[in-house]
Amino acid sequence: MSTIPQTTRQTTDKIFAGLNRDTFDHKNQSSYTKHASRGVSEELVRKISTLKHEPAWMLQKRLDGLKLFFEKPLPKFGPDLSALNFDEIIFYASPDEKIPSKSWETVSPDIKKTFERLGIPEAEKKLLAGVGAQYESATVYHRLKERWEKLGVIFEDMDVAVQKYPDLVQKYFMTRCVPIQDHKFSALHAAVWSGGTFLYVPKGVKVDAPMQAYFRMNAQNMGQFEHTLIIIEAEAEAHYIEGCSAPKYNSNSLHVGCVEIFVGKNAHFRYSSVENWSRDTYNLNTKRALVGEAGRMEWVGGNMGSCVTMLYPCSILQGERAHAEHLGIAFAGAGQIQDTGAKVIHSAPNTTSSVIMKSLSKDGGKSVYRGLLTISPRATGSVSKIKCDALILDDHSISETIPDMNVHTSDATIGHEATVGQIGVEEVFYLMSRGLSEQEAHGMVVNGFIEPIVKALPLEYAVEMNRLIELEMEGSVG
Amino acid sequence: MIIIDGSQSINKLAVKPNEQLEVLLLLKKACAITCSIILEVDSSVKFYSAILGGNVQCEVNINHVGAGSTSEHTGIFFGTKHDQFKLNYWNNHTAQHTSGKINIHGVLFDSAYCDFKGNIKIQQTALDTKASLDEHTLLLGDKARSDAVPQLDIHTNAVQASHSSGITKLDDEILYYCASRGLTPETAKQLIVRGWLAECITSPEVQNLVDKQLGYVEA
Repeated sequence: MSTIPQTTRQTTDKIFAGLNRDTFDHKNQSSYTKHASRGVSEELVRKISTLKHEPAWMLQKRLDGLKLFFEKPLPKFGPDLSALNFDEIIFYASPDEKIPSKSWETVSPDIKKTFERLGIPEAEKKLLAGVGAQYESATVYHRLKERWEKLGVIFEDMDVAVQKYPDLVQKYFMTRCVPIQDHKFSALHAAVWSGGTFLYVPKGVKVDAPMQAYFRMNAQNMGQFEHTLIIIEAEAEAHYIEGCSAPKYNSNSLHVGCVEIFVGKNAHFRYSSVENWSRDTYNLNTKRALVGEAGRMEWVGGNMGSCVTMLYPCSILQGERAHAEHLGIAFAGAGQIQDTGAKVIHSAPNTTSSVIMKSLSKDGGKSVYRGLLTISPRATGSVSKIKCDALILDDHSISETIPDMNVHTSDATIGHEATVGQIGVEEVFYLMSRGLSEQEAHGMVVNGFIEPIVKALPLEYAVEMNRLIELEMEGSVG
Repeated sequence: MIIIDGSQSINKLAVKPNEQLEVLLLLKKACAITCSIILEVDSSVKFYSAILGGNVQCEVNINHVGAGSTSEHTGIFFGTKHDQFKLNYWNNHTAQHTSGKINIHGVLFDSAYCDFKGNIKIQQTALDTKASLDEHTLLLGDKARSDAVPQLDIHTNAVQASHSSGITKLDDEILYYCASRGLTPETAKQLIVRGWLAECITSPEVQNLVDKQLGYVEA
């Protein structure tokens, strides 16, 4: 069942037509991992750097990261990560593709087919300004439409960007936004990162179509560590979408991505992501944005898959009148812990933020909203509003709300509210009296619950999100 | 009514089946105190807390272990100078058909600081539970600070649980309105603080103490 009107469905069917569990669970042969080493070591880090012909400063950053990774403890909050065995994980494995292709025709058939199943080339044709596709540790396809290239927009694979734009990358890569010493997993990411996206939008350029990168893990026990670095100069605008998935193997995979975003004066940037890792993936991502004067940063996120997710997109409002908006959905099913939330740090006067989070728990799943709001003494006149709602779909699932608010100025206005409940019997009764089955009624209520978040996505991705929720909801009644 | 004044650091109370109890926790100076209340079947407690100064660490746990038990925790905190409050207010629901409300309003002047942690825990056995937690702070001192962590920890779906929390300043529009009615800024401030706390002041004794404190602030 779906709440999407028929007309919408007709226009979007071609892109996400075959979206079902097989789409995500399909695995290709992964002979390239046969000789890949497991675990992380200095030897591996040096090997990655050599294979990528990296400059000395990047190798040094990797080695510093590795040292910190070994030194730092696991997080003292949130889900238990002790079952995660780093020695089993393949930290770097690259399919045979040598350099990111500019044409799908030259991508190897197996990989191309995987992305076709996920609807990526079709979406590129219809609505995207640029597309990147990463398979395991390597980017296999990256292209930006000519129109935007001419205006000076750079949309590149991160490895390529290190070679082509070394000064820009060195200035921004894991320096001010997410320093390598931030926590254990930022240090690990610095050591073994591979692939990802580099997006640079010059001053005043407004990219009116979204750009997308899709990250796909294929092999068993794989680790993916893509780095996304986004620089939006003053007065510029852009929208970037990330999608992620992996097949299921019944043994752990690891995703430790890092997203760094710089939003300039009066710039406007929206980052949307739909993360649908398989149920054996640990998703321990770090996403952070530094927002300049009167800049506007919007995060829209959906977390569906993974066994454990720890993800708290963060906005640091550095310039006066900067604004951050966080919209998120988390869906925790059987055996899943979705420990997600939002962090907003107001460090300049008259900054504003709004956080709206929705979570669903089902079949014993646990969803946690873990938020941090800090109003620094300088942030006079700041205003923030946080709202989180949780829906628990059965009597053995869990919802936790842990908002931490630290206010260090008397001249701020902060509001937080949260609700937890179940699907109303009366709502279901009403819908069933209109001819819907019980499952359809439940699905419709859930779609209504998450609608404020989904409607912030481009139409085609809203359809994908609704479809993913439907897949998660299958068998939830009776 | 039982009055707890901070002279004993640990206070345990049990409310027997079908009984009702009223408790006033009144703290005016530095202390560290824990109050633990156990509610048996169909019992209820009205718990009033007033934290009026000093360096105070206060923990209040209300445990709904009996089916049908209800609680209302209504309180204020009023900090001036360098007062520091560390408040942990918990409601734990383990039995069915229970209900619990926490409603706290606070005011912080000068360099006063409050670290508020509230938690509603609803266990899997506590079906048909209704619980709410509301905490709102008015910051009036240039160096006054507030941290708030109102948590919900819910382990079943047949419940209604909510929390809200706010940290705010004096509304300029209200001050302007009061001035336009001929009130001095000091009188206006006093009225606004009284109004802010009124909902959670439940006894004349606490009202008198708050008025005394307000007198100090104005002086």
